[in-house]
Amino acid sequence: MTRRGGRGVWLGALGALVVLACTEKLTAPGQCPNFCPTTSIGLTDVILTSVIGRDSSYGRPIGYVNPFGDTILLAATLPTVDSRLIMRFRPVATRAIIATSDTTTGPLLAPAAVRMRLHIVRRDTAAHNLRLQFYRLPLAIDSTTTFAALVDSFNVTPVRNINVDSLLAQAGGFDSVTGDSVTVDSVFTPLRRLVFAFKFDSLQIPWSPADSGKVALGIRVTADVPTTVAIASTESGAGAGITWESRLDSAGTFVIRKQSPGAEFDSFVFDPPPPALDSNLTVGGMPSARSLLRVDLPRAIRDSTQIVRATLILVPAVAAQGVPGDSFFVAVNQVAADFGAKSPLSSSTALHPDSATVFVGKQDTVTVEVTNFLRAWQNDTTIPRTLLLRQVIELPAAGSRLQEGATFSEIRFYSSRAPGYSPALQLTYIPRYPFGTP
Amino acid sequence: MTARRTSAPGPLSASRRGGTVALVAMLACCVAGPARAQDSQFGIKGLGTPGRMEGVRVRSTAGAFAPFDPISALADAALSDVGRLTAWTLSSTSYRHVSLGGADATLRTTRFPQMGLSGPIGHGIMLGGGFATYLDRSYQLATQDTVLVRGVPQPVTDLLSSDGGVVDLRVAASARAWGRLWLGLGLHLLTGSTRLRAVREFTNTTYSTAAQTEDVNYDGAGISASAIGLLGPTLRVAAFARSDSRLRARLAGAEIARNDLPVTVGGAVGWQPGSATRVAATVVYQSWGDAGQYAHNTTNWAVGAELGNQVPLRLGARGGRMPFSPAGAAPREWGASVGTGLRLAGGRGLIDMGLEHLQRRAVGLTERVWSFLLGITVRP
Repeated sequence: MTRRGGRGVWLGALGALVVLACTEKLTAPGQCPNFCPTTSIGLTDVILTSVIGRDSSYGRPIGYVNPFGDTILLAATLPTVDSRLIMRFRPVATRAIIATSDTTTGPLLAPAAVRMRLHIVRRDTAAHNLRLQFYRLPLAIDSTTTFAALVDSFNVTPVRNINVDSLLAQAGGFDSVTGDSVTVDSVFTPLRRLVFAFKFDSLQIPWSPADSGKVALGIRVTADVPTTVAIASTESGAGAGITWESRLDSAGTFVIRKQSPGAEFDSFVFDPPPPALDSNLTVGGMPSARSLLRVDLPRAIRDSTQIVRATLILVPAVAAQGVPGDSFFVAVNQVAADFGAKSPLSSSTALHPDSATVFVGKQDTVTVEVTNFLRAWQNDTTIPRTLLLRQVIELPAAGSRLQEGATFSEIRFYSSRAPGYSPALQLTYIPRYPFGTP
Repeated sequence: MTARRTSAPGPLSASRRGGTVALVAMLACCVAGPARAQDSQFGIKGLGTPGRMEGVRVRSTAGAFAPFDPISALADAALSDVGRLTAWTLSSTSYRHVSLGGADATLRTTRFPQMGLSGPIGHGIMLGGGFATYLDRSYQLATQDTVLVRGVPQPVTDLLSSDGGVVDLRVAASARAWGRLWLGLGLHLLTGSTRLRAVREFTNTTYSTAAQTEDVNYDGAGISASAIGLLGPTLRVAAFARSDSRLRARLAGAEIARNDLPVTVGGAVGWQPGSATRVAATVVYQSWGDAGQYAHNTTNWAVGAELGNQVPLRLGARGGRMPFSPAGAAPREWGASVGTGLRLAGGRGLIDMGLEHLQRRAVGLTERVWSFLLGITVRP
């Protein structure tokens, strides 16, 4: 090998060595205290009982979710509440073109059948012989209609009384005698909703050309035990609707003309009326109530520590109200801006709410993790340090499956005005590490 | 030291060879990225691990030639040996095996601890300067523990890391004083910073990871003086001293620590019995004992030899103590090294390579370090 070639090999080898050597592996096993810095990482756990104040409940008599605007309709026959659905369907045409070659119209006659579609999104499967009872109601019902105003309308024999369990037991979910059918929508497994198609005759739902075919119905639910049912409302996009299968005299031949109006109004009325708010923090119920908590985090903690866990502690003033054995979630949300009762919820994905399960009839202390909120407050001082409690339950629906205002259940927590039981924060944090000193 | 051409110039002319050297240097700089290292765990409780202000040639002889080497920053008087404009840098890749309390780990780091420039400014005065690592404060420790939180034992992993250190920015001058005596004087500005990070991770994901990062800045100053004398045609002696003030640590502009820095004194003897044989021995004392609770004064020695001129063989051995130890006496350190060099472009480019082995032991910790050293010197 010549001297020139030898040097080329040297240089190439050196370059390769440099490239191969330029990786690092630094982490060494620490054995404290000898081979660690003098100060170790600390940890402090503290319960702050007086940092939550200016807390209030909002939502009565007008709630954040109200019966006439709810995405579900609550029917219940419970010792604590009796709730009935009311709905009014849109008008339809009372005349139709007799033949396609002519513009002459003729009157629609009494229908051959009236079919009604209904979605049950939640029911108590432990309550057997669930029945849906249909009543005719006055067309004047609206959002101001009260339970008392419709007592007479419900104190009659129902136009139809349908046993849901019997229908579900039919082969294929079809009752060949009544013409009713049911299908189980398993898209939202494990929460299943039932899609009904009920058949009425013209006596049960009479055809009234004078009212342009408008009809108002009421629904009660009963079962062997007190029960509750949630039915999809118009606001959910899967509300109830009817199909008029009207007969038309078409040049001596009777033909069927179908019209399918949806509900132009649906709601529910219940008794007794919702209890008024008090000094406690009310969450849930119908109309749904929310509670606002304002947190005054000590500056020393906010500015000089790293919060690794934060838990909101809420003490119920009374046992959670609702259907025995039922449960719901109390969710803690970050508000985007503190406007009191009208505070909008934050939509930031970094401020995702956490929740705790509350069981009806229990009075256990409720704890909810709020770590991400407090860490966000440390990083961004413009975020309002206000938390909002609301009640949600899980429903079979596309997208968000947590729904507010889907149950009569509610819970009331002690507020900051109840010494010894006021809301508290349990914080676990790491104090600032004293860097720089060997 | 002059380069002797032993063969006729070929197609790889001097300038192209110089370009190749520059290419290697550039390659080394680009792939290294941010230099982080953990020279020794003994320095974690102290101010750090003192840097070796020695070129590759000197480290290949275990540091024995440091007071006579113009590239090394130990004795400023040696700058007179440069003769002309010279620039240098070096890289060090270390493989460190750590045995501590039954736990073993192998660490690997690459860094560029030194860079400098020197040359004549007239009237027989040589001026030089550059930077060298004064204290390395890079480390990364992982510890696992279980802490009781809310009445429940929670496994945690703590990660403490420091990235950076203190560098010595030196401006030095050297001149021939009388006959066979050269004197040198240097001013040193100590500066640098470390990025410190503390992380605690919980196995239980209910607990969030906590991380804190801060930058700590350091400053200090020093002055050095040295003399090299020829006692004969083949025998040289050197004496050197340096006094550093204090190391001040600042966090966000506020002083958080102040530690005294050592006085350094030392001497060396070099002998050249033949044209291709050189030997040297050096002793250095440093009063690190005033630098803090875990600090100790140190005395270190080194002996070494360089055999040959064109492709020399360099050998050396060293021993002594390290300045910081968490308990007991100062850790013992001994080492051996070997290396060689290559002249390019008629001596305009020098590539030095060395392999160094160090062993340190104290308080249950044993460190065995293999370092590959690569130095590049350019004399345009």
